[in-house]
Amino acid sequence: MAISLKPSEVSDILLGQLQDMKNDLRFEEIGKALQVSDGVVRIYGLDHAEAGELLNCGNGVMAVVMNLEADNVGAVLMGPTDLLKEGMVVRRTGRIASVGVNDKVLGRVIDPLGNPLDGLGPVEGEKLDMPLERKAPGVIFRQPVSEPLQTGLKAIDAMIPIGRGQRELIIGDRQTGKTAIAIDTIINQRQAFEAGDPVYCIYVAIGQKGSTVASIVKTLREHGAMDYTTVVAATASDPAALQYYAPFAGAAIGEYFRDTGRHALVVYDDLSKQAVAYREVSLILRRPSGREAYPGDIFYLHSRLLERAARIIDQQEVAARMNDLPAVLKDKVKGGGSLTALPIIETQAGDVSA
Amino acid sequence: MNRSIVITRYARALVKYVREGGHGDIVCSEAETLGRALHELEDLRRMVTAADDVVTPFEKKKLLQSALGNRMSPDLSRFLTLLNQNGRMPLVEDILRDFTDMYHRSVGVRKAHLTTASEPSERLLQRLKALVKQKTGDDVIIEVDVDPSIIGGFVFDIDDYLMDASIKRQLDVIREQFIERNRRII
Repeated sequence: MAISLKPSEVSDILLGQLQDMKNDLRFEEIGKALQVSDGVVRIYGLDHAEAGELLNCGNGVMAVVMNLEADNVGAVLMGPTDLLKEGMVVRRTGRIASVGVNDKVLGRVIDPLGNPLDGLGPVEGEKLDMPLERKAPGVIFRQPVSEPLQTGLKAIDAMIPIGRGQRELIIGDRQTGKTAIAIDTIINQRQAFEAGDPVYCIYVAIGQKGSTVASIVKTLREHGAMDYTTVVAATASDPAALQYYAPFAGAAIGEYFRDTGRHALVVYDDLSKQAVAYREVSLILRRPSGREAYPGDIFYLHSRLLERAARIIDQQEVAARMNDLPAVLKDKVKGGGSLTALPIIETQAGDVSA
Repeated sequence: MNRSIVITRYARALVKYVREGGHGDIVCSEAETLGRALHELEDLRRMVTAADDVVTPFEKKKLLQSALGNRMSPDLSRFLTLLNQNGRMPLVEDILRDFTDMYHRSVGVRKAHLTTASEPSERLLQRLKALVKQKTGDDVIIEVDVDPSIIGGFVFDIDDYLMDASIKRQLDVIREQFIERNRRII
């Protein structure tokens, strides 16, 4: 039977919603877009903008400040370039680029800004904004790796065991089974999940085909691995900035579990594509380039990302004073958590030096 | 060399030069006119930014002079010659924009822009000016734009700050919030 809609009910709801609309007036800090090109926008004004800050370019497009110059600001766009025009007003948001995380992100496929991509509606519940760029925990907030992380592959677990809080590079040519190792590892965490000691998994797909991501999600779902897994996807058709930020989003989600005393595993598949995306952004921002046109800080990019994999000390009073904690996490910190990272690098015909 | 460093250096030098010479206001208004012309006329911009062997520096300067109706102050003329000598003519639009901003700041004048749906009264403008003077201590030049598409209210921006109190924005905000809340129903 069709449910009949009562008109009064609908308008009452709408009236209620109208009454608590937020409409506060204040001065906003603005700049004007000078030039929009290939995913980068140069903005005149915005004298107080901070590096890494999120900007609202209008038309629902966000950008992140990357270059602060004498008379303009260079920002990378997180959305399509064709929605912007020269002279458009760009507003500061006062927020640092971040991803909204809570336990409900498990089982979901999201983009690096936390927007769902799987058509299952918005991620519910109150979300904590975890900054994409965050410093790794200092030496005193860590403790040695002591627990193993079972990959489920006997050869690896026997010869080169991976501990919780460690990072282990998976490197090889294409079609050699790098992704397979990572997926097997994620599926193998099902045992730990059922035993009540879950290792939450984050699979970050960077610059892959949409169909590949879909088939990976299907595999994970078939094996019941999506119950404890989040997939962060920035496919080949996404802007370079999104591909560049995808691993940071994965790390931010992992840190949410790590800092609340749980174990997490993040797979970056793969970082060579992220390096290419970063090269693209850097070249458009006119940063000086080095070997193979990669920018000089490409190694720093990967090392600061992988340093965020850590085993947090289990002394609660020390862990609570961890460096660079986001304000939203202050009273939720628990020691003893870990973040394990499995970065994947694809080599070209065995050339490991490139 | 970094483009924005070049631009700010030339702009700063011109500000100092015109303040010493005492012809700042004339040069500034000329720079504003030129800037507007360069912004609006794409052909002019293309000629000025062209390579020197396609359009000679002399012709570039002549074009800019004619954009000002052939009445260019000697200070600005000398500055454009300097730009030509150093091969920085392609940056002239950015330099003039930075110059006008810096000049206004150095003499304690702020530029503001007011958009309303109907012609604002003189009294309102005076009150706004008094308000800005009281808050910042600076004089203000208000450019007024009448744009019926904002329906009502006003949009006021001064330097890098903007207050959008237009009905159009309020409707946009309500629309966004409605969509945000009812997304799952749709």
